[in-house]
Amino acid sequence: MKKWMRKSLSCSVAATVLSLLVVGCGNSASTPESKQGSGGTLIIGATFSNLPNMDVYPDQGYEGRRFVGNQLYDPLIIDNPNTNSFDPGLASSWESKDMKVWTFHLRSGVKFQDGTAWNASSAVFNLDRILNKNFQYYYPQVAALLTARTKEITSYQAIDDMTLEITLKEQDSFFPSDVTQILFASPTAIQKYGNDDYQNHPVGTGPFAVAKVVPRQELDLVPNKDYWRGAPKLDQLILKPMSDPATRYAALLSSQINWAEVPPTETIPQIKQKGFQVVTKPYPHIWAIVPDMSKPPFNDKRVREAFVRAIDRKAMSDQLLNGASIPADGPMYPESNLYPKDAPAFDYNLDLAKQLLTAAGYPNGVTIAVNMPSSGSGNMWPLPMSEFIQQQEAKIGINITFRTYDWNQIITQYRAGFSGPMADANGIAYSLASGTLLGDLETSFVLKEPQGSDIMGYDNPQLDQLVRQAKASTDPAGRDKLLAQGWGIVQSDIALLPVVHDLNLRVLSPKVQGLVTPATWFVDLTTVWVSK
Amino acid sequence: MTRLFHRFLQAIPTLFGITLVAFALVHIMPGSPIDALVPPDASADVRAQVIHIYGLDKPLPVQYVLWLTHAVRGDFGMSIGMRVPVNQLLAQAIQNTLILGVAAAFFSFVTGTVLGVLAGLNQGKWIDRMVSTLGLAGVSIPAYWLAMVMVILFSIQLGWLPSSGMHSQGQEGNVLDLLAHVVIPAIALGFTPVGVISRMVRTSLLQVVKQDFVLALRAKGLMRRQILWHLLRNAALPVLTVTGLELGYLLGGSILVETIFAWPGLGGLLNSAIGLRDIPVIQAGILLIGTLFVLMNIVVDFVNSAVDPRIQRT
Repeated sequence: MKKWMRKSLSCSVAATVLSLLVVGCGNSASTPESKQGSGGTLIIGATFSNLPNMDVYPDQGYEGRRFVGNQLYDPLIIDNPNTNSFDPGLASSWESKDMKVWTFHLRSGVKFQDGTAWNASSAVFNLDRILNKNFQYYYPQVAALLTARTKEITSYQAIDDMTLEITLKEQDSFFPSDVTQILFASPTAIQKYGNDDYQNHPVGTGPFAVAKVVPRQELDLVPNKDYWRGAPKLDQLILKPMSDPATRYAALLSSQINWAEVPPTETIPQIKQKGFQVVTKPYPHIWAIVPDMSKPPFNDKRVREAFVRAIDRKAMSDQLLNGASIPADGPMYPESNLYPKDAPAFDYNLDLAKQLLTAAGYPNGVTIAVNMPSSGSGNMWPLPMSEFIQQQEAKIGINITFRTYDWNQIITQYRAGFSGPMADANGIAYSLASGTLLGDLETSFVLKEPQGSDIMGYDNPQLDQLVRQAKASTDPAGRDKLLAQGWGIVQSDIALLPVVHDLNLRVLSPKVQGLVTPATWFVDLTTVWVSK
Repeated sequence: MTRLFHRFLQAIPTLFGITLVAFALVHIMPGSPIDALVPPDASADVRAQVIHIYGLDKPLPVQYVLWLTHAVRGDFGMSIGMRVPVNQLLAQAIQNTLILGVAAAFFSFVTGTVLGVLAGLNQGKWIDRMVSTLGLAGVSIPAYWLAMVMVILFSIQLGWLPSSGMHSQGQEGNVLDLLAHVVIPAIALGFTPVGVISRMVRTSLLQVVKQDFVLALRAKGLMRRQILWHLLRNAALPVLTVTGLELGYLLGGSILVETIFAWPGLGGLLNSAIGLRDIPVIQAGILLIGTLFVLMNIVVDFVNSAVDPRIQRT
């Protein structure tokens, strides 16, 4: 969940210089309206530093999944990026009476890109590959990456040629969102190339197929003309790894690419002025400080509230980040159907913050240490953001020492929790894909390590009860209502110190048309085309 | 020949030291490759399984000996992150780094020498002061800053040169296309050595000019051009040493420039490998860069003794 932020070598100095120099040389053009059309070559400058591997669980975090996994493969159930709702994928329908035994009716007439038929035996082959240790093509490297999604599965079988049944350990109404993460590869290709070499010859059922790989430089994809949801409109899709934000910005301006992920935020005004399309939209994400609630000062809710109220999150979003985020009141983002509408918001209020801190026994302020990652796309722009927070908290007497570590090390620290190497820290700046999966509430706030990632020392029996109820619920609407209540409890308990929700910033050339601005971290590229 | 042989023998303990450092560094470094591979909520037995696959459950000395015995046979294992042979990754990366490094070295050596000679022959005049300023700028301006400014000017504003990458779409074999892509990164990367080399040439030249043999050559009535040739040969020694070291810097120290230009070389490979804690790639990369440095020093020694036979006798 937290691996999707790739480390990137950010050069904010260079980016600032860049943005200053570019001021005033823009030729403004208006963004054309997208109507009908097709064709063209879409060239994406992605934030990963290397091309992801192309097995069913690509590396380079969730960005590898966004641009490679989801383009080559399909899951049984699709988390539709356009609507953030469950849509039928390789299963045309599914049902479960008890939330324990799940039946998937597989889509008929679908073929893998090599002509292999999609049916229950190819589904079982793929599940064997990640779950059956005695299977000839069992592949632990991929199995390990998927354990979080498959750990509830006890058995699976083909009922008939087009029906798959999966049995779970216990009732789990969150299972459909786990299913969205399991992608299916052509058994023929895996048998032909073997597990290790398969990633160099990937074959899925997805909208695009691999045409050419230039190692570490570009991945050329061509549309799958027989794609079951309709062939993509593009003639060609090219992915380029460009880990530095300023590099992506320069490549876009010099027309080497026509789609740039996360440019430097300070360049947004110039980008708009030059007629490029700046695309943002809320999606499941929270940038927060994860507090250690097992020791002072964050064991006191008043201190947590004071901390949150002292940060002018609107100024951070509008001025510091130029609109690339929205202020956060809690871990769940406002557009979600799981958003707790009635939960208390902790608005910016310095006087109240000071009073709360005094009431908690810190009239002369308090000094805390917070660990943070140095970079990463899902981590947004941690350095300027932490400096901003530092200045704001100083006003009420909370003096923060931010200690910067690289992303991999932050993951290790997070795993170990506040009893490990982070014992001297009071918090950790971390971004979570809250709400991407139905199970996120349980994983982040109910289950402790190693089953989950509640490292805060947070415990609320009422929440535990709600989550148990939601998990066993057989009615999706009822389940979501319970989950929303649960997110509300987390928000009013301030189990995370919320800062902002990222808006998935990307910039497109005016020629790129037809994009439906995604409502999730992922993106549907089948509707996109590039005009001449 | 015996000297060459001895020099190589001397290099063996150094290389051995490099293998120790390369191995130790990645294990001292906090963070584990397993965390980059296995999600935090994966079960303990799956985690143990993956650790076992990569041999990370063996004691460190055993891991080292295993790695070393494979390394001397040229086998660096599989990349943990990318699941391809490390050799294959390094071969591609070093090739790309050499293209950039040699281009940058060519630029810095030629420009640095010309500027240094001009400055040395015109000591105290405006041209000398200009070269000194440029040299100071060279060693002070960070390569990534210069890179961005050149990209803005030549790629974005003028549109003459591409801003990143090695090739345009579908132009993988086109040498001219490659040259167009290498110009800006090579200049950005080579600008620091220009500063170092031009100052070294100037200083060295000024020292040689003061020596008696120059007066003797003048007294013999040699032409200015002929005297210059003698001057340069004598001034070349320290310059060659520095150039050798700078070449090492250009090959190993281009992480920033490679990242900015999305240049698929050794620096970028190491950078992403460090992020992933991809131990086999980091170890092999450090060893490769270290070996290049050692070889470069040996080459410089021999070039030096070829230029100045006196060195051979010492």
